[in-house]
Amino acid sequence: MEKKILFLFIRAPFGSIQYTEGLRAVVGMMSGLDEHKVTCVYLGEGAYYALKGSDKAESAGYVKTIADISETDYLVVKESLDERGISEDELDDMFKVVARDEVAKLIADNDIVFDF
Amino acid sequence: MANINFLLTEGPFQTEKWATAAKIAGAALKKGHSVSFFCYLDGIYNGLSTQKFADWEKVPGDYYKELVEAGAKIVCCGICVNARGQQDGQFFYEGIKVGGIPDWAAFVGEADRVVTL
Amino acid sequence: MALYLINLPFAKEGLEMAKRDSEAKVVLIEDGVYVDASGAGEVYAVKEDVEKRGVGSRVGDARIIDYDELVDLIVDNKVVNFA
Repeated sequence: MEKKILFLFIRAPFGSIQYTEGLRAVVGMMSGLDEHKVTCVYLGEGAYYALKGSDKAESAGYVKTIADISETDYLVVKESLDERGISEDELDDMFKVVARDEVAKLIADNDIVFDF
Repeated sequence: MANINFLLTEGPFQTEKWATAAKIAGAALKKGHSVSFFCYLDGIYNGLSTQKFADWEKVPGDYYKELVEAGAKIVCCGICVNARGQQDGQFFYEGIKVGGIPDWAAFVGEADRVVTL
Repeated sequence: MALYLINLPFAKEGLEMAKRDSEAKVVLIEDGVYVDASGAGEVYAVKEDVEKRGVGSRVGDARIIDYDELVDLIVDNKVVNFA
C-alpha cells in the first residue's frame, strides 16, 4: 500500500553516514512497488546540510535519482537555522525554509515518520 | 492485530538500541502482532551467530535468533552486509535474510506502525 | 494522535514537535528518561530504562510503563520517531 513518508534528517552531516544512507533509503522507498511519497525535512543539527558550502558530492547521485522519480521537497526548519545563526542566503537553492509549525502539520499529514 | 516494522541502524554492544528493539518486538510477538525488521547500516551485525562475549550469558544475536523463531521476519540490507565484509550473510542465524531496500519498502507498505532505533 | 518516541540526542527537536500536537503522547526511552518532558503532552517513561538509571524520583509526572504497555501505545498511535 502506498504511504506518505516523512524523513527527518536530524543528525549533523558528515559525522555519521546516516545523512547519505538516509537519502539512499528515500530512493528505495520511492522506487519500490508501492511507490511511497516522500518529503525530506532537515532540522536540528541536520540543518547544517542545507549550507551552500556543505559538500554534496556523495549525496548528489541520490538527489538526482530522487528528482528523476518524482518532485520531492527538501525543507529546512527556520528555527533550527536561527538557533545556529544561519541566514537564508547561505542556503543551497534546493532547500525551502519552513517553520516548525509547518513540520508539525507534515507529521500529522504523513503516515510514517523516520528519523535519520 | 497490528503489523509493526522496526528499522535498526545500529549494531550490537555499542549502544542499547538492539536491546530496546528486541524487547519491544518480543513483547509485540507475544501479544500476537506481526513483526518485521529491516537491519540497515551497522544494524546488520545484530543477527550474527558468531558473536562471543564471555561477560554475558546471552549475546545480541541470541535475542534476534529467538525473535525469528517466534515469527519475526528479519531482512538485512545486502549492500550494507557486503560493505561490512559479511558477504551473503554467511554467519547470520538461519532465517535472517539478506535483501535490499525494496524489501524494506514492502515491509513499510504492509506495516501499521514503524519504529526506528 | 501521535506517539513521540524520544531518546536523549533528539529530545529537543522531538519535544518541540510534540508541544505542537494537542493530542501528543511522549514516550521517553533509553537515555531519554533523563529529559524533562513536562508540558509536551501525556508523558510516559520506559520502566527498565528508568530503573537502571535510578531516576524513578526524577521523571516527574511521567507514567512508568513496561514493554507490554509500550507495545499497546505503539499499536494505538502513529509513531513519530525521535529515537
